[in-house]
Amino acid sequence: MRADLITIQQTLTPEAATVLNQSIAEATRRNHGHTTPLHVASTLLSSSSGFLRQACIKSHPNSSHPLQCRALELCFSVALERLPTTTTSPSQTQEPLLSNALTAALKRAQAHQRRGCPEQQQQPLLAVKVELEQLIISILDDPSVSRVMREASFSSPAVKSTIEQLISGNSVNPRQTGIVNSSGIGFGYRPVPVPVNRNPYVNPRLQQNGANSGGMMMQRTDEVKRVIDVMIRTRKRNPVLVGDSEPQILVKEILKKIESGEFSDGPLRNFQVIRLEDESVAQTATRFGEVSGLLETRMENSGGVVLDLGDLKWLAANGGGGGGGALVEMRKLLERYKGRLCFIGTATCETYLRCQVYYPSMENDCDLQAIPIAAKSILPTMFQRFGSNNNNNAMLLSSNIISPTRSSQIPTGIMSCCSRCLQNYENDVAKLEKSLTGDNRSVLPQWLQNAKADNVSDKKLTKDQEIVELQKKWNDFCLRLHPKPSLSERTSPPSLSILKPNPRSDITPPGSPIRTDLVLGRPHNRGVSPPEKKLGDSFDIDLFKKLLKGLAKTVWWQHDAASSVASAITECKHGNGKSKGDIWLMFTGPDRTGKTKMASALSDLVSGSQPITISLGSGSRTDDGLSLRGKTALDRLAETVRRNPFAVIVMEDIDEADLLLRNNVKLAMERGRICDSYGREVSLGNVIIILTTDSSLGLAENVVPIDETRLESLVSRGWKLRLSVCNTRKRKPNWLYNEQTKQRKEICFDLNEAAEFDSSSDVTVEHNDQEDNSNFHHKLVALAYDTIVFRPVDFGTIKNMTVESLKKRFSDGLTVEIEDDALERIAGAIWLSKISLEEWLEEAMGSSLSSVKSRVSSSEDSVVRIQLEDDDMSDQTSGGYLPSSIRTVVV
Amino acid sequence: MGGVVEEAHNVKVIGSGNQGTIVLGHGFGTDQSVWKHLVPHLVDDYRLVLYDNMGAGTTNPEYFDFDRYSTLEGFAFDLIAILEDLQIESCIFVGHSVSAMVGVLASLSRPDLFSKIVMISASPRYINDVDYQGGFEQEDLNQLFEAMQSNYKAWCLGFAPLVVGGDLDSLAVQEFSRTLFNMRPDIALCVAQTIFHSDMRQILPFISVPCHIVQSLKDLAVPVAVSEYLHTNIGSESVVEVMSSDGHLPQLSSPDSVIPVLLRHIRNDIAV
Repeated sequence: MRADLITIQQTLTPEAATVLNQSIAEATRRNHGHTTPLHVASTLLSSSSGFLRQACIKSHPNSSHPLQCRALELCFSVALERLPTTTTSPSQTQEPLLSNALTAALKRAQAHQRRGCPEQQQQPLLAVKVELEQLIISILDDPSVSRVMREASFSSPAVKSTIEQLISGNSVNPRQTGIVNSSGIGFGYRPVPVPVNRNPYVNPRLQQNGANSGGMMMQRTDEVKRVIDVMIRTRKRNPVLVGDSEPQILVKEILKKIESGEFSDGPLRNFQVIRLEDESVAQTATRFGEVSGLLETRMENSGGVVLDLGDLKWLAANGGGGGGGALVEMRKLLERYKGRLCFIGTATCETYLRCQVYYPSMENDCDLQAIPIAAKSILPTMFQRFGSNNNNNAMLLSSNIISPTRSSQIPTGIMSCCSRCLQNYENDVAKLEKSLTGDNRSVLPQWLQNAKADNVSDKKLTKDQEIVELQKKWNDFCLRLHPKPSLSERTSPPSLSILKPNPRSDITPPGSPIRTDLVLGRPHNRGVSPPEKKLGDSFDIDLFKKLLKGLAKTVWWQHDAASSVASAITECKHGNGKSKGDIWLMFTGPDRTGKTKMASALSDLVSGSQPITISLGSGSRTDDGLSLRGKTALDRLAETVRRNPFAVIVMEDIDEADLLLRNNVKLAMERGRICDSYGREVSLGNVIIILTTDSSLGLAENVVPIDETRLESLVSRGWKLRLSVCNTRKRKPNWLYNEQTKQRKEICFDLNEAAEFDSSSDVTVEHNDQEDNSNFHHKLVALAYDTIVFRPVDFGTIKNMTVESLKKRFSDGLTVEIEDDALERIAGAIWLSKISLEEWLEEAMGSSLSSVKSRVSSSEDSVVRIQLEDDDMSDQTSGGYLPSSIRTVVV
Repeated sequence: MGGVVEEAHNVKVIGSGNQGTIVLGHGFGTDQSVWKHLVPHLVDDYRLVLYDNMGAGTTNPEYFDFDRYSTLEGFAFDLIAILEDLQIESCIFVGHSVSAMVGVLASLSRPDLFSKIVMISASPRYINDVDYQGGFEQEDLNQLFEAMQSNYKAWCLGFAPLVVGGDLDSLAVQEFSRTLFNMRPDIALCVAQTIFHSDMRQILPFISVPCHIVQSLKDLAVPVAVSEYLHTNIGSESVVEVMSSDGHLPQLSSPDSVIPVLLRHIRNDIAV
């Protein structure tokens, strides 16, 4: 290896050789096993006046600051840190070897250098000295180096072209020389037998495999011979092929040779093979009992038996628990049939090591001999894959797969028709085959022929499908013409099995399942009977009024929105010329509660049930039921639609949906059907889908949004109300004058609002969202039937309304005073919970109210005060935000 | 016996035309069969080289080096390796989607190998940036990658119609879902991440090969602005044609209108 290094150094100019030596020194210092292009690049960079450094700075398009180079240096040193260090002590005395990549880079540089001086072409390689520039260029070509450079936002091609520009001043035009040297001394891969000289751009994995591809057959026969050698000796004659590259193939080959009697003159004469393969762990351990019986019979009429143990992973499984018995059995068998029984098995390195740990005496007990199989050997299966590309493609393209022999097998299996129809069918298949293969006798690859065939017949079906079609046609035909009841069920299900053209893979082609699902899906939808509608098909105006009344009652603060919803639904329900049954509405604006309540009110009015909500927002994942786990929102939507074709579905925060869902929603809006992620399509039926988003486009009202989190924290803490009736005169200074209280309230609101404004940072967030999604948003708005804008709500008005209705409740001239804290909580709780104020008042205040009324004799001089109970706040109310009862005190 | 490289990439050389060599590079989630509509029109005049990018469903996953293909350069080196292997001195490179950028990268290393690059639905960067509209937000991509990881099949079936832009039942969608699903999920994820995180904007000025930029008017992955960006930033001469087609794989989904455009760009050079 040292000699190698010296030879290489001879091919470099002193400058380049110094760099290489420094790199090797660096690798030694870092205790790396190999010197890689990374070391060289880092060495090149570290000299501050270096060529590479300058080129990097020059090439960087944004800045030419030296700090950029510093970043690059750091990236390289990080990359070097990551390289594995050698731990074995002897290598410390040696200098680290050059890595393959570096050797390749050096060779590349050499080849380039030779190109640069065509007159020297005939000279031996050694006569050309690689200059530093060429070394840099070829180092830059190394994938690992360019990756690191990318991390530091440098582009190695850009740096490289900069260097080339720098050189081209005093050198020959690279393009010209490239052509001159087209025979590619260092590049043409095949003509060059030396591995390091091959095409430098090749994927190293290919190179690795490629290095052995030529001698692969030889290597294989070598390995077979080694295994056989083990098997024919007297001790340690039970080979275990250890390797990570599926040594089973080798075993198969060996066993085949044994079975076919290729070793008829050795000790393996007349041996038979018994395979234990594909046994589950438990079976294998107990199978040896049965095996010994089998062995007995085989031994009698043969020279001996080779028992294929398969992959030894069963021995190592379960922490080695299951294999002990088997090993004992194996040992017994070996002793019984001395010399006439031979085991053969395979294992990966890991498995074998594990086996050795679990059963330390395994090798001795069972006379096992581990034979390492080089991982490099290319497996015959791989070659099949490459070599018979046409077959492969044909499989994947799922056409032309049915060879004439096979297609003649199919009909009898799945054709359930009578002989006459069968004949007709076969004629059709023959015709089809002729049409497909008739004009394809060309050099084109198979898939291309198909394409042409497609062009010719302009048929969208591949041959498989066509054959299935034909089968179906004749089966159906026959069924109708010559009905035989017993056959009716057999017609379609078996045909699925041929829809699976690729027997090797467990992947069903995407085409077929979709087809079946679709067929199954549609009748299902049709079968659902429409539920009774609360709203008859009465005339528009009745429906409209009913809707508006219902909606406006629940969402009284969004009267405009309620009326637009009502009119939109009314218009949609009564055709408006559109045949589509599904209605898409957009609810926009920051009033989340308003939107939710509107949806639920609408759902109650339209379908008499609660709306089904699919939350897409990031914050609202908590309420997902267990059944929704692992389902995408799209699937949930499709599922919901399938189950409830008349429901109101709310897709909350559609603007936070991911790209796929958004686009699918868009498609669904256009088409009136939705496609779930399994490709099944569901008609949207008569669902009303409400998409909500918080952003309010084109609506720049300066109203502070309600800080719902603050409200929630306020009302969810548990609070109680006290209703006190007191004498007017005593309280006069504080509470009598309405004007005064009003003023106070207003001041309070202002303060609150200011506080809310400060604390709600999401005002700006919403703006960002708005910009990001505005494009998508606009598209949805265009597609939806109507967009209902929910104006931002001022909490002040909510409170005023609450006061109003509270006062109304107490009616008969009583003066009602509401403490501001109490009011805020009542209003907030009503806002957040589903219950309406009236309902709550009835429920919670009803009794206290009547008792108050009964106690108050003269309405003129009494004041009813509603205030927070301040003594025991800790008592948590159980249901919802609102206190369920109110204490009444008469002062 | 073909070379290792040719076998690994399923390289096919067809056609006997003497007007030069055309190399066709397919994009993410497809394989060389994506060119089936184009190839018949070229076989008589050109020598065609078709190959599969490493990681495509038709290539051996064993050869997929997650490190090597964590940048587009890995693919570019593969391309050069194929050209070297076939001893091609100069070619017209037709690259679809990611392969267009791969071709550009390769042309930076070896400008001598390329006489012209035809880019179909190409994008130097997919993520939006300041002053750049790539079509995706990082957030979108994270969701996309997550979806790929959680259920690849479902993702494929959802992704294919969006990308192709056609009807759900269309042959092109089925074809694309098929080739997409052929990829091993972990490899598909790796390739997708490589592609979507790539940023080739810095190297555009260094391109020295004439570029023909062709794209669909409506393309989920590549907004029209991207072509304009390419046109203004590519260092060499370039020409843009935005076709009225729909989707990211126009050569597969609407061949009738797209193939003539491609042929025009392949046959004619930019007038000086």
